[in-house]
Amino acid sequence: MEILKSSIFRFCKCQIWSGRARLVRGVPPHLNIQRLRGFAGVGQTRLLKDNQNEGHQNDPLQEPDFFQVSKLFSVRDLLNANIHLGHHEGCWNPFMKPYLYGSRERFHIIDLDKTATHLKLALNIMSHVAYRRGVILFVSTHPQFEELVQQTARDAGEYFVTRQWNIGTFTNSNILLDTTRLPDLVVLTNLTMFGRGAPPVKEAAQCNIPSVGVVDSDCDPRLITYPIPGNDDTPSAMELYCRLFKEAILNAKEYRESLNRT
Amino acid sequence: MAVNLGARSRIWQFIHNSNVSKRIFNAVDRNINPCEKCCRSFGTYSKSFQRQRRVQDQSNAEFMADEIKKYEMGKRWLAKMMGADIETFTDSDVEESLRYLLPTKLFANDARPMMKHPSELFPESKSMLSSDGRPVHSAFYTGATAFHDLIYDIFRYSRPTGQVEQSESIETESDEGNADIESEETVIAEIVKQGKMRWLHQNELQALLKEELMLKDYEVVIHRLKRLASEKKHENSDDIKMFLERFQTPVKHEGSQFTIGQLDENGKAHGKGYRKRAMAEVWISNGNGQIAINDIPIVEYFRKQEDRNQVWYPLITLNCMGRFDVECNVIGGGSTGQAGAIRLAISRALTSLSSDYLAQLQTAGLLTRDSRLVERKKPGQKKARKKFAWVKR
Amino acid sequence: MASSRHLKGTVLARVRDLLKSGVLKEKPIWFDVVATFPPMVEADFDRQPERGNVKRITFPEDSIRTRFLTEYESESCSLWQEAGNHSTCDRFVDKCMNLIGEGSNESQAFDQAVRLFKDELIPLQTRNSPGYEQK
Repeated sequence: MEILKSSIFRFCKCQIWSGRARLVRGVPPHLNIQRLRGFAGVGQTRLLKDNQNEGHQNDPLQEPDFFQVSKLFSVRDLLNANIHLGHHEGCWNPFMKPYLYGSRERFHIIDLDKTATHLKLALNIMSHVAYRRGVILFVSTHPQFEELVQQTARDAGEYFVTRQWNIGTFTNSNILLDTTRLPDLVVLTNLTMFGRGAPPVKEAAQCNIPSVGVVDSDCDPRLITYPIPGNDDTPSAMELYCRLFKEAILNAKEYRESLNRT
Repeated sequence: MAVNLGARSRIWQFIHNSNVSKRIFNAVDRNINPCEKCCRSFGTYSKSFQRQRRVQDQSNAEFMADEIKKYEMGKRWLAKMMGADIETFTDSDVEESLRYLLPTKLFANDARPMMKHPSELFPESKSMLSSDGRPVHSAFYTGATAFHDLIYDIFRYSRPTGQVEQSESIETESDEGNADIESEETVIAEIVKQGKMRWLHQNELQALLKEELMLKDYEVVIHRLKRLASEKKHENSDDIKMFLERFQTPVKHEGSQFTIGQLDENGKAHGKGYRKRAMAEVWISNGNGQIAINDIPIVEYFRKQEDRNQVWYPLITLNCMGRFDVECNVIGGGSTGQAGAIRLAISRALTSLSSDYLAQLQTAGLLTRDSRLVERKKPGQKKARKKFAWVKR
Repeated sequence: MASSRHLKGTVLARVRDLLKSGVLKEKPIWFDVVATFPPMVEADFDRQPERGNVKRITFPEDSIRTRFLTEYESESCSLWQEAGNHSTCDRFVDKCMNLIGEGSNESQAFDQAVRLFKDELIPLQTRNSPGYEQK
């Protein structure tokens, strides 16, 4: 056990200190840690100014990263939040293979470069949907993160289901909720199942709602439109995701309000 | 809540077969499907039907106006049928005539035919969607907004309010050590006992939240409230105390529902009591210890010594045998049940004679209704537990 | 919701077809967004998993670390230890790796590092030493 611990520790530290991880696998140039770090620290006001100067405010979709979500986090942040730690080899889902970097002492390690690209895409989608006044629903059935996810949704002015999922919430909404207004984006975390067996995932897919999901190495990513491969059991990781989701949504909303004002 | 779907169809069958209902429907409108008509005229709306109509229909106000018009029309027909004056036909008359015209043996109350004013039947529901089409409440998709608000409040109050407070609380915790954890339950018990308060029951909480609450959700709420109450750092916070008090209510003493010192016009103390299938009513007045049950002296009425002892028991407990005369009416049940019923009735009557008696009777457990009833007979057995005699082979 | 419940194709494709056939009159809010930024992997339920095994992650110093930890006792190291905080084991392994980088082979480097540590009076407790049991 000691050996195991120390070697995982070793693995973390290798990446942090010496950039050994880069020696081993090589970082794709577009996601170089140095480059990402260079962006950090740019405020929202700057973002708005930039966009207005360039005259893109009419159609945010023309820009690849209009809301500049890539500035919200760096790969190092992901690493510090232990997002790379997966589950034991025995409980993996083969569909997660493309997102795995390797296995260290029988534990899967998630490729943070892929996490970063997927997370960026997911945050981009979330900001655009929030900008267009879409309804974003956070679903997390894990009791440990009930408060966190609820807080995130309330702070972001969006919606949540943090306790048991009532079966038929989407597919039978006109009876259960007396409405046919369904969310435009579902954000799923901490589901024990992500495949067809998971009611929220299945219902979102059946009702044609795109979904963003944090998928760990033991999850089924097949029905998730925008999977984010990463650790979903650690508080630090969940806090990071929630912070990013909240910031992405609030940035987009703030931008929309600033447009309304001018 | 009107009736569920199954019950509705049963009612429909029932109503459809009776001549009275046919008359009603034919009189009102021939063109509409009789089942729907029945539901409309008597207001037996199923939940889904209600919603469906609401979604289909224009706005809520128009819908309500429509319903009220129909109700008034139905009421007029009913009054005419009963031969009563339309102007003085009240809601209670409506109920009575309905009971007369459509007698039913349906067990469930909410499955029986009824006719109520639409304002009672459709509680005012405000739209859950805002003007831009987004739901108003964050917990909209959970279907239980008030419950989630409450849970969120508990989260907020459970959080450390400030950095300073937090550090202080940590110090106090480390000083007192593990004693806190062990005595957690006793602390809760103390808090509740000091003010003689208890946590709200499920139905009370439902009424407070104005929302249906499942048992498991209720348990979650109460568990978290208890945990919040047990945290010592919150003791000095008035906000949290006020918050917690909303979910507590004073514990009622047994017997406190009887007014003390109130006698009837003849100066007699009156009480009612029940046991098994028996019901008893007693009047106690000052006297020399005569006890008459249904105008028969107790010694003749109850042949068994145990039964007589039961009746005397409250008087013996208060040490006042021979000071009061007891008149008693009792019906139903057997001798044991009647004796028990009289005992409870006497005890309850005695509480109104003196406030000292209340505590004594309470400690003796004489003010508690014995809720045990006879166990049902089981098929394949001779009685509740007794089996048929049988021999192997 | 007018749509197949069998989850064929992706969300975008299904909604596009519904719009084309006129079943859906209005575009959903997300439609343009998802069309502009399509998912990297199509969310197709019927796809096959990739074949092959996940590769093992190994470092050159693994063998040295294993040998050190089997022979000597190291202070317990935690996964969440701070980056600047080196355990004896870490320093030992670093030393060995430096020696290997200078050209010596693995077992030589190990022995040499043990000697160097003893010269620097850094205590290396073996597993069989009495102090270990007491701990």
